Amino acid sequence: MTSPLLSVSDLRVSFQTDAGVARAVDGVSFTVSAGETVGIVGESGCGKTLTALSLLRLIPSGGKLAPSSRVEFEGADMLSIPERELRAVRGRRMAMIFQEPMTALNPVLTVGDQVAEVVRVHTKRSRSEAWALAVAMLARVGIPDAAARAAQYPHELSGGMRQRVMIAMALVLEPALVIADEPTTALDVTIQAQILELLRELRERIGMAVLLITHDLGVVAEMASRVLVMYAGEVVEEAPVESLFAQPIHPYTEGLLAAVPSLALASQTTQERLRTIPGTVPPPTAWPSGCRFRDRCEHAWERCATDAPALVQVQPAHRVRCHLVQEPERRRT
Amino acid sequence: MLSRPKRAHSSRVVARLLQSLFVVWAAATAAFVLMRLAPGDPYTTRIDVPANERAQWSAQRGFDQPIPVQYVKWLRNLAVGDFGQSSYFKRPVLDVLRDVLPRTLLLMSLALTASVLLGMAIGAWQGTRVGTTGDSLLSTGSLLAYSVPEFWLGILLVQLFAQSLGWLPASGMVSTEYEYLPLSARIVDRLRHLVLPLTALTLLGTSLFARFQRSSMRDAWNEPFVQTARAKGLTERGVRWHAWRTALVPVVTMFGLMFPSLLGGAVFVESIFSWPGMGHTAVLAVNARDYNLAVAAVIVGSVMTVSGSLLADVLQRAVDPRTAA
Amino acid sequence: MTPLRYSRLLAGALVSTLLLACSPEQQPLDTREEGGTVAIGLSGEPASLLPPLVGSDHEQAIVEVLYDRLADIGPALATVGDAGFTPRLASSWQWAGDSMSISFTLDERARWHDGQPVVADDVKRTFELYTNPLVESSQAALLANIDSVSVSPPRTATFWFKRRSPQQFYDAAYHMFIAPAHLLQDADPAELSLAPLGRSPVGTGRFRFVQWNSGDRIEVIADTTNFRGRAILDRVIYRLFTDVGAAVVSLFTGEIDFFSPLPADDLEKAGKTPSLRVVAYPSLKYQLMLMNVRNPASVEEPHPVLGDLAVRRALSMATNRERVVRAVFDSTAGVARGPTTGLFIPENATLRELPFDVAAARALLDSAGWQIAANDSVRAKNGVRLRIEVLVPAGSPNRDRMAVLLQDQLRAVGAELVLQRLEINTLITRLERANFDAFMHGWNMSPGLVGLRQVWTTGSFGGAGNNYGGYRSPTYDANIDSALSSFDPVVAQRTLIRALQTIIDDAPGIWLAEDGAIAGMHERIEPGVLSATGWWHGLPSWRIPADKRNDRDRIGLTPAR
Repeated sequence: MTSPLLSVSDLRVSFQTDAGVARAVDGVSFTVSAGETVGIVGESGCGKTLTALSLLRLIPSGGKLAPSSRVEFEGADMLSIPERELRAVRGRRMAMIFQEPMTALNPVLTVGDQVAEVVRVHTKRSRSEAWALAVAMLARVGIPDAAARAAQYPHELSGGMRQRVMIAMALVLEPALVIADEPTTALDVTIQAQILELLRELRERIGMAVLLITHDLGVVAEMASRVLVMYAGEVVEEAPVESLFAQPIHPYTEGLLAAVPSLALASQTTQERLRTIPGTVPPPTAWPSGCRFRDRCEHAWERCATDAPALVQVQPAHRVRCHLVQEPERRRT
Repeated sequence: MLSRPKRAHSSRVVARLLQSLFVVWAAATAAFVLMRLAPGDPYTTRIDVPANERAQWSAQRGFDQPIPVQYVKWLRNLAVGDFGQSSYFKRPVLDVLRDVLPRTLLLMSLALTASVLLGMAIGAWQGTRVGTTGDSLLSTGSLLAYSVPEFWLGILLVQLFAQSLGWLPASGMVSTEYEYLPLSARIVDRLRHLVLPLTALTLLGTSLFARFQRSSMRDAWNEPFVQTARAKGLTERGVRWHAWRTALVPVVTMFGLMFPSLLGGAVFVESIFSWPGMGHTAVLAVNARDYNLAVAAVIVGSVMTVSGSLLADVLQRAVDPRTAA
Repeated sequence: MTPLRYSRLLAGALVSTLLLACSPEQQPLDTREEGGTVAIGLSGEPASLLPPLVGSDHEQAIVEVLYDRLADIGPALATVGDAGFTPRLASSWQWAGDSMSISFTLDERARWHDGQPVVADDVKRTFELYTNPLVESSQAALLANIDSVSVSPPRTATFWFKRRSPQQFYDAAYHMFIAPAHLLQDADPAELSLAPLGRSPVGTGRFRFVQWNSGDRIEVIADTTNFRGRAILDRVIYRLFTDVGAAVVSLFTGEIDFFSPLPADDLEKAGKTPSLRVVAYPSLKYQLMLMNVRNPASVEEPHPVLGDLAVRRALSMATNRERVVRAVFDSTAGVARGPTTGLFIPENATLRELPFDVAAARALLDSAGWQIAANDSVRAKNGVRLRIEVLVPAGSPNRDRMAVLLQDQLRAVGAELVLQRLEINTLITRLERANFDAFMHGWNMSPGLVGLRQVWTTGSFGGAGNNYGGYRSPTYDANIDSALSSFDPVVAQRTLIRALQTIIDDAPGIWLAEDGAIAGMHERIEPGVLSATGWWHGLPSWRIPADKRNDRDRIGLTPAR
C-alpha cells in the first residue's frame, strides 16, 4: 500500500478546566488506508470520540490542539488547512455518523432536506436534483417509501430509521472515509444488526474506509480489520482484529474482551475473570504516573508506577503499551 | 404516524375557535359584573351634582336595576353589534374604539415587529457567543432596559431628546402646525412623532426578545445537531441557521403571547407621550365607571389575548413540526 | 425669520430642505392688530361641545368662546340683581313690575356661525334642554328657580321665576350658553350627545369652530363677521393631551403656547425659561381637611372623636396652616380663612380665625378629657383614642402632601392621623354614606355662593347636597339663608360674615389653601387679565403684538391644506 488515506500522528487535545489541564487525547497515532475499516475501542472518557472529532477539526470549544499534532487526510493537514478547504472535506470526503440519531438530526427540518443539504452545500446541483439524490440515498439505506419519508421530520421516524437517515446523510456524496461514532449504541439489538449489515454492504459498494468508534468489541469483531484500543487518552494496543481477539496482550484489552459475553467464552485466558474491569477511568486532569492503567491492573508492579510504558511493536502489525512485553514473567495467572 | 384524517383537524380548529369565543365571553361577563360591583357608577364623579339628582339619572339609564337584568339587556344589544354608548365620551362605544384602537395597533405593531426582529438578531448573535465580552455587554444592556420601570424610560427619553436636546417632539401624534404643512413635511412630522414612543416600547420589547432568543439559541447551540451541521461541511452561517431554526420555536410562541401585553404596555406609553390609544382609554373608562366602554375594552383585550394565543399556536406549528401532529 | 422647529431634528438637513422648498415666500411684515395663533394645551379631551352637556373645564373652556350667555358677569363676580352684568347675546333686558319675570331682548345683529339669525326660540329651546332631566345637565339644579321661558317673536325671551330671589338675573343670564334651536330640532333629549352639533358646534361666539381631530386637537378661528367684533387672534388650536405631565413638557418644548394650571413643581423651571411667562390669577377653589361630625355608624349621633367641638378646634389650632400651604403650593396659593376663597369674603369683614397655638390646643384637649396615658403617644378619652382616618384621593399629589404634613403636625398634640388613599369612586361612595372620619377636600366656588349652602347647611346632608361631614348649625343655616336671599346688600353682607364666623368657630374643617392658579404661556402672548372664572374667559381679546409673531402666528385664517 502507498500512502494511507488518513494518517494521524501525535494527536493531543487538552482542555483547561478548573481542576487543571485535562489531556483528553494524549499522543494518539494511527493510520487508515483506503477501503480499510479500523475500529477504536475503549470505555467512555478514554478519548475515542474526541479523537474522531479531531479528524474533522470539530474540537469542542475550549479544546486545544498541541502544535505537534498532525491529521493528514488525502494529503492535506486537516488541522491547519483554511476553513474553506476544511469545509470542502467535511461531509464530502470525510463524513461522520453520530451516535444519537435523535439529537444529531435537526428536529425542525425534514430528513430529506437534511440529506439534500449535504448535496447542495458541496455540489452545484439544483434544489430538486439534490432532493432526488437524497430520496435515492434514503432508499439505498433501506428506508421504505423513501419519497414520502423524505418529507417527514425526525420525530416521525423510528430510531432505526433515523440512524439510516444519519447514514444516508454521511454517505450521500460517497466519501472516502466515514467515521461512525457508536452508530448502533442507541438502538435495540435487532436494529443494531440491521444497521451494521447496512454499513457493511455500503462499504463494499462504495469502497470507502470506515473508522468505527465503539465501546463494543462485538461490533468491532464483525466490522473491522484492525483495532485500536484506547485508554486514558492513549492507544494501549493496536492489532489486526484476529490477533487481538486471539492474543490480547494488554491487560486492559483482556478486560474488555472479558466483558463481552459472546467473546468471553472464546477467549482462553479469561474464563474465571469478572466480566467487568474493576475501578473506573481516572479523570483526564490527573492521569496516574507511569502506566495509566496500573490502578486497575492486576499485574501491576513497581515499575508500572514510575515508568510510562511506550507503545512497542510485538508483531509486524501488533503494538502494545505495557511493561509485560518486556517482563512477561510478571503476568499473574 | 402518518397524517391524520382532515376531518379531525378541522373539528379541532372549530373547537379551538369555540373555546376562544368562550374565553372572550367569560372575560366580558366578568368585566360586566365586576364593573357594576365596583363602588360608584358613571355619575359618581360628577360630585357637583347632588347625589339625589345623580341617583335619578342612574335610574333613568337603568343602572339601578339588578345586574342580571342589565346583563341580559346588554347581551341582547351586543348580539346585534350594539356596544352601547360611552358615558364618559358621550359617543357610541364603537366610535370611540374606531378612534383609539388604530392608534394603539399602529404603535404596538411597529414596536412589536421591531422588537422581535432586533431582539432575535441580538439574542441569536449572543446565543452563539455566550460568555464573550460582547455577550456580557449586551446582556447587561438588555437587563438594564428590561428592569428599568417603563414610565421611567419614557420620561427619560422625553427629558433627553425632547426637552434637553430638542431633537424630537415630546408628545402627541402630530405637531401643532401639522395641518398647515405640505404633504412631504407631514409625513416627516408623523414619523418624528413616532420615534420616541416607539423607541421606548422597542427597547423594552427588544430586551425581552433578546433575552429569550439568547437562551434558546444557547440551548440550541449546544445540541448535537449543530455538530452534525458542521460535520456536513456547512459554513458557520449555515450552522447558525440550523441552531436558529430550532431556537425560533420558543421565541415565536412568545411573540403571540406578547399580544395582550400590547394593551398593558400601551398604558404608560400612551400617557407619557400623549398618544390617546386603547390603553389610555381603558384606564379612563374604568376610572369613570364607563361601563360600556370598559367592558368593550376588556373584549378588545381578550380578543387580542386569544388571537395572540391562536397566533402563537399557528406560528409554533409552522416552525416546529413536532407540535404539528 | 426664526427657523421652524423642524430644523432641529436629527435628520435636519433632509427635512429643512423639504420645508424650505415648500414654505411660502417671505411675507411683508404684518402690522395689523388682529392676527396670531395660540396653541393651548388641555390635559384631557372634551366629550361633547354641546352647551347643556358641558361638564369638565376642557369643555367649558371651548364652549365659552364658541357660544354666548345672555349676559356676562362683571369682574367683581356680583350676582345680586343685574348690577355689573354686561350684555352678550341679549342687548337689553326688562324686569317685570313684580320682579317675577325678566324679558331679554336678543341682539338683532347676532347670527349663528351658519348665518342663521339668533331668535328667542333658541333661548326657550336651550332652557328646555338644560332643565330636562333626560339631558343630565350639571347646571339643571342651578336653574331650579326658573319656572319657564316664553317667547315673543322674533327676539324677546321672557324668564318666569318661581320665587323672588337676589340671584334671579344671574340664574337666567349666566348658567346657560344659548344653543341653536334650528340645529337641535330632531335631537332626542335622552340621546342629546348623539346630536351632530356636539362634535361640530355652531355658536354665536367671537370664535367659530373649525375642526376636531379626536385625540389630537380642536381648532377655532376668529369669527370675522361677529356682531361683537372679531376676536383679535386669528386662530386657537387646543392640543389634547392625555395628562398634565405631557402637556407641561410640550409647553417647555414650545409645541404649545399656553397651559394652565401649571403645577407648582414646574413653576421654578418655567420662571427660568426665557420664552415663557408665568402669570398668576385668582381661582375659586379652596382646600380643607373636612371633618365628619356625625357618627359613621349612626348619623344622628355625634362622631366619637370629631363630634367633640373641643377636638375639632384643637386640631385646627395645632395646624400650622401657613407652613402647610407654603410647603405644598409655594407662592401659588394663600391660606384660606374659612370655607371659601378670599374673593367672596367682604373686604370690610373682620373674621376671627382660630390661632395657630399648639400649647392652647393641648390645653383644650386636656380640659376636654382627652389625655395621654403612660406609654402612649395618642390621646384617648373613655377608651376612645384620638385616631382619625383621613381619606385622600389617589392621584392628587397636592392633597396627599398636605395630608402628610397634617399628620406630622397633629402628632405633636397627641392626635393620630391614618392616611387612607382611595380610588375616587370608592372615596365618593364612602363620603356619601358618611362613612369616614376626615377627608382631604377641595371645592370650587361659584359666583352665586351656592356652595356655602350646598356644602355646609343641615339640609344638604344626605343626598340633597354635598354636606358629607354632616355639619349642623341652625345659626349658620339661618345666616346663609339670609345672606343668599336678602335683597338688601348690607343685610346680605352682614349675615354672610356671621355665617362664616359661625362655621370658623365650629371648625368642621381645617381650612388650608385658597388656590391661586398659575398659567404658563409663551412670552409673546398678551392675555390681559385672566379671570377667576376661567383663564379662557377673555380669550377673544388676547393679542400677540405684530412684531412678535412667529411662524405659528402666520398660519392666519387660511384653511388647512
